[in-house]
Amino acid sequence: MNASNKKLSAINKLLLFLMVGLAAYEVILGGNSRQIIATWAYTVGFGVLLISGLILILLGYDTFQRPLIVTIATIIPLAISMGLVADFFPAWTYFYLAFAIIGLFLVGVTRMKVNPRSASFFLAPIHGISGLVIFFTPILLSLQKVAPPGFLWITLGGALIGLGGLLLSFLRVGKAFISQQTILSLLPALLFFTTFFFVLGFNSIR
Amino acid sequence: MKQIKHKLNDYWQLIKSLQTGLLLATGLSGYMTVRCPVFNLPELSAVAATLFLAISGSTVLNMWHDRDIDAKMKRTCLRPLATGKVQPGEALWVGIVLSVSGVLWSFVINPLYGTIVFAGLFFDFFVYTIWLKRRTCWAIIWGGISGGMPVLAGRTLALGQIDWIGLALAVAILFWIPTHIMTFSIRYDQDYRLAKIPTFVSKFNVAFTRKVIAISSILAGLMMGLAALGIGLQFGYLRLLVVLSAGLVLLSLRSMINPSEKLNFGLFKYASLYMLSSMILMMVR
Repeated sequence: MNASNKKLSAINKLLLFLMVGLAAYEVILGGNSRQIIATWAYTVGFGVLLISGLILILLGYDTFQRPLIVTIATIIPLAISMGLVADFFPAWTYFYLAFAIIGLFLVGVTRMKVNPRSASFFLAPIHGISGLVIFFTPILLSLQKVAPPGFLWITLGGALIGLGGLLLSFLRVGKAFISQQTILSLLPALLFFTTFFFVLGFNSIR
Repeated sequence: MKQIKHKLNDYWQLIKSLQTGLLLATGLSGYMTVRCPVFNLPELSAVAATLFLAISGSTVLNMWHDRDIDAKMKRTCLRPLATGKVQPGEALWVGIVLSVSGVLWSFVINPLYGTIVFAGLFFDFFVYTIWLKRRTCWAIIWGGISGGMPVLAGRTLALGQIDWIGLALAVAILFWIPTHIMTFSIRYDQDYRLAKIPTFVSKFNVAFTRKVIAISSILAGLMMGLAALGIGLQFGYLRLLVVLSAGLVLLSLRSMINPSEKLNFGLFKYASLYMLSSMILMMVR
C-alpha cells in the first residue's frame, strides 16, 4: 500500500487542528509588527501554514505527493524570513523582497515545467538562505540585546521547518534513510511544533 | 420513553442538523455584526429560536416533498421518510408546525424581520423545491437566494432596516452556494441522474461545472471581503479572512485545473468550514 493512502491518526489530526489555530492567531497578530511589508509577509507565511494544515486534514497525506507542495513549502520560510528582514534589517527590505519574489517564481516554474532535478538547483539556495535568515536573526538580535531571549524560539522553529523541508524533499525524490510512512507520520507533529515555536518567539516581542 | 427518543432521533435526521446549524450560524452572525450579543441576550435567543424553527421547518418540508427522489438515490435512501420510519403525513405536519411557528414568531418580533424569514422559506420550499428543482439546473440560484436570507434577516433585525452590508453578506452566500452544492452534485452525479434531477453536470459537463465553482468561489470571497470592510472588521481579522478566502479560491482553481474526486470532496468540506469561520470572524470582529 502506498503510504500516502494511509489515513491521518486522531493525534495527528488534533496536532494539525492546533497548528491551524496557532497559525490563525499569528495571522491576526501579524507577527506583532508595525511594518506593513513585515505584517503581510508574516500573514502570507502563517496563512500558508494555516491553509496547508486545513488541506492536510481534509485531503490527508496524499497532499504531500503533489508537485505543488514543494513550491508551497518554499513560501513559508521565504515569507517569514521576509518579515524578519523588513522588521530588523529595513535597509535590506526591497532587495530581499526581490530575492523572495524571483526565487519563488524560479522554484515554481522549474518545479512545474522543468525536470525536478534541475528544480533543486534553485530550491536548495532559496530554501537555504531563507532558513539561515530565520535561524540566525533571533540569535544575532538576542546577542545584541535588541530582542529578548524568548525570541530564540524562532530559531528553533526555523530549524524544525528546515528539517521538514528536508524530509519533504526526501519524500519527493523517493530516497530516504527513514521510511516514507515514518516521514508522513512525523510531519504533522513537525508542523505543529514549528508553528508553536514561531508563535512563542513572536509573542516574546509583544 | 424509548419510543419518544427514537422519534426525536428520526425528526432530528429530518432537519439536516449540520446544514440547519450552518444557516443558523449565518443568521446569528448577521445579528452580531450590529449588536453585541452580551447586552441583547433575550433578542439573540429569539433570533436563534425563530431561525431554527423556520430553517428546520423548511428542511422538513423539502424532505417531505422530495421523498420519492430520496428513495431513488443511494446517498439518501436511508433517510427516515425514504425508509418509512416517518410517515409522509406526519413529516408534513412537523414541517408545517415548525415553519409556521418560526415565521409567526418572527413577525411578532419585527414585521420586516418576519418578512425576510418568510421570503427565505418561500424561495426555498415553493420556488426552489416545488417549482424549479426538478425542471432546471438553474434552480440553484433560488436555493442560493434563500440561503442568504438568514444572514440578511439577522442583520436587518439588529439594524432596523435593510442595508448594503446585509445584502452583500447575502450575495456572498449566494455565490458560495455553487461551491457547496455543485461539488456535491459532481460527487453524486449518478445519484442525481438516477433521480432525474437536472444539475450543471448533467446539463453541461463536469469541466464547465468546475469553472462555475471557481468563478463563484472568487466572487464569494470578494463579496465576503466587501461586507467585512463595510462592517469594519479589524485589520488582523480581515487578513485572516483574506487567507481563508485565498484558500477557497486556490482549492477551486486547483480542482478546475487538476481535478480529482478527493480534491472535489475536500473543496466541499473546505467550503463549509470557510463559511463557518467567516461568520465567526464577523461575529468577533
